[in-house]
Amino acid sequence: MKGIARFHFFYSFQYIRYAFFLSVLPLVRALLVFDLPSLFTALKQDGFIFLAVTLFSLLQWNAAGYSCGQERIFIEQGVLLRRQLLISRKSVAAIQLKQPLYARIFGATLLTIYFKQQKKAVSYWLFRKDAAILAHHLLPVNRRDNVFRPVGSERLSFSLLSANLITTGFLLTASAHKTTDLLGEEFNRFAISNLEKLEQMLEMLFPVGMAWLFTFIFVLTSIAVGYSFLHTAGFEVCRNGGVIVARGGLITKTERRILASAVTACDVRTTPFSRILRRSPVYLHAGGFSGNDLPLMVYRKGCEQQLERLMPEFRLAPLALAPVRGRSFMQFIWLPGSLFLFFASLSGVAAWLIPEVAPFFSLPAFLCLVSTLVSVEGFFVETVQQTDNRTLQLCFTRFLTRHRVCVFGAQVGYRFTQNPLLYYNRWCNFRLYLPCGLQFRVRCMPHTLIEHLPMVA
Amino acid sequence: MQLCCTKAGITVLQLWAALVLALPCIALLWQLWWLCLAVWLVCSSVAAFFVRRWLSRISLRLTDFQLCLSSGSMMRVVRRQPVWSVCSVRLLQTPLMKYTKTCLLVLYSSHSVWVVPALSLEQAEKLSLIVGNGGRF
Repeated sequence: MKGIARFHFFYSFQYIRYAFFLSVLPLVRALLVFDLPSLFTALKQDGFIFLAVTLFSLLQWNAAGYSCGQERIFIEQGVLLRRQLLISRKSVAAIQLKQPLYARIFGATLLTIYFKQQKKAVSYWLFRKDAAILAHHLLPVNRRDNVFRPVGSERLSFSLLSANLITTGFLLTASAHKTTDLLGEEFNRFAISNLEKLEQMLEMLFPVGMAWLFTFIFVLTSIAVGYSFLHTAGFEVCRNGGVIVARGGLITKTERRILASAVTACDVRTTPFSRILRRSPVYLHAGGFSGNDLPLMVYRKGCEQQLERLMPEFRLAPLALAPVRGRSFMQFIWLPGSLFLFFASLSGVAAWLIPEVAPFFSLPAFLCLVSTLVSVEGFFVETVQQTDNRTLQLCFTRFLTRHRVCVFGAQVGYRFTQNPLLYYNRWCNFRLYLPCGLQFRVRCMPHTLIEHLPMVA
Repeated sequence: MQLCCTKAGITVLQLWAALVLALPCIALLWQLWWLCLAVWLVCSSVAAFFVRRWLSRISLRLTDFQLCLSSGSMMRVVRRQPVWSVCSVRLLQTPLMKYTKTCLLVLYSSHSVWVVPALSLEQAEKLSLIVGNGGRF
């Protein structure tokens, strides 16, 4: 690729979208109260704002561009404040090509570049062909040998394990607020009336509070699993020439290319769901790329070859008992245990005074109980050890999940802390920092073991 | 190679602590000048004691391509990272630090930022050269 290439015109949308939201809100409000004079005034003002911002965006788009050299990419941006960015090929850890449905219609692709030594990533809207050429230039893939392609029950379990109820809950709340702001209370009432119909159906089987709880769980799970199902449609993972490629998605097509030599850690997470399904999702972290939103594949006990084909250095040592003699049990269970007692007592009081509300407290109490049990497991298995191929393996628990992490990269930092009690018993808490901003914590480890822990080569 | 906080550097930071404490003392005890002075003196001496205690425990070691920073006495913290993961080094000097030939060393790496106060300028420069050279002396 020679000369300066232009970004897709979606690039200018980052400025226009603010103007769009500023313009639409007064219009919708004026329309809802049916105040025609104020609607015309708002239209005139919005027209001027929109025109000015569009002009500014076009100027910005015209001034921006990129060019590819043999070993680097040169990016230019800005009209008044000129910014130039030089990206070396060697500094790239991973790239992501994202094509949402609306972008596919206009032939646009969002290219995100993640670096080896930097958490901050850069994203640009490019034409589909240009994005493919640039991706090939940065991390070339010539032949695709599938390592993992979920079909049938594997596909179902992959979708289930990729679904994140907590994130979906937050996104759902945020989007409900935004929709209410834009479309008014009417939409909110319409949505609640539909939920009430479902709740009335469930009331035939459960008491009122319990029926609402089940409605809430059902809706949240349906959305999370549905989204995950669409997101992981046609998902496949392959490795070629030192590059790991993961791609899939139905509405939003996503392709991720990760440089295998830049992978800092491989995280096998065992959630309560994965314990039931007997499969664990595997996440890769490479430099500034955390890849937390979608697992790369699903690991099943006894099928290590699949994972080793992807990451030959990967060794998942069997779960072993950690040195527990003298270890503080309270340090592991104080938080989930006290939260469980708090919610259990609230649930008990509610069951006595307002039985309809009791189920709402029983759900967090149940989650805290599971978290306490996971923490008890953590007391026995949390450990740090060096494997036979000089990688580091961590096993620890956090909330409801047990993590088993294999650390490959040298770009990591250690930190161990001691409070007076731990200092007296010669124990310490260990933290491992990754370039992507993630940190893993292993509690109550023998100080001598951690002090002589070698850095990953 | 081991770097510790110098006496001059510690004194500079003690002065800074006293200066910062003067502001809340004046704000809280406005016009009660003798009381303000007495409270400020007590607070400054307590702060000076703790600052000295805290800084005297800080040490930065460079061994076998590895940087190790330990600090704290009650809550002991040890940080470790390979030398090649350090992206850049910054030496900061206030006029007072320039006068006492001390500096504040900031080590930027891909995953964290380490701040080591009150180091000797000569030693810090030597360390920054070694770090810039990938850990080779």
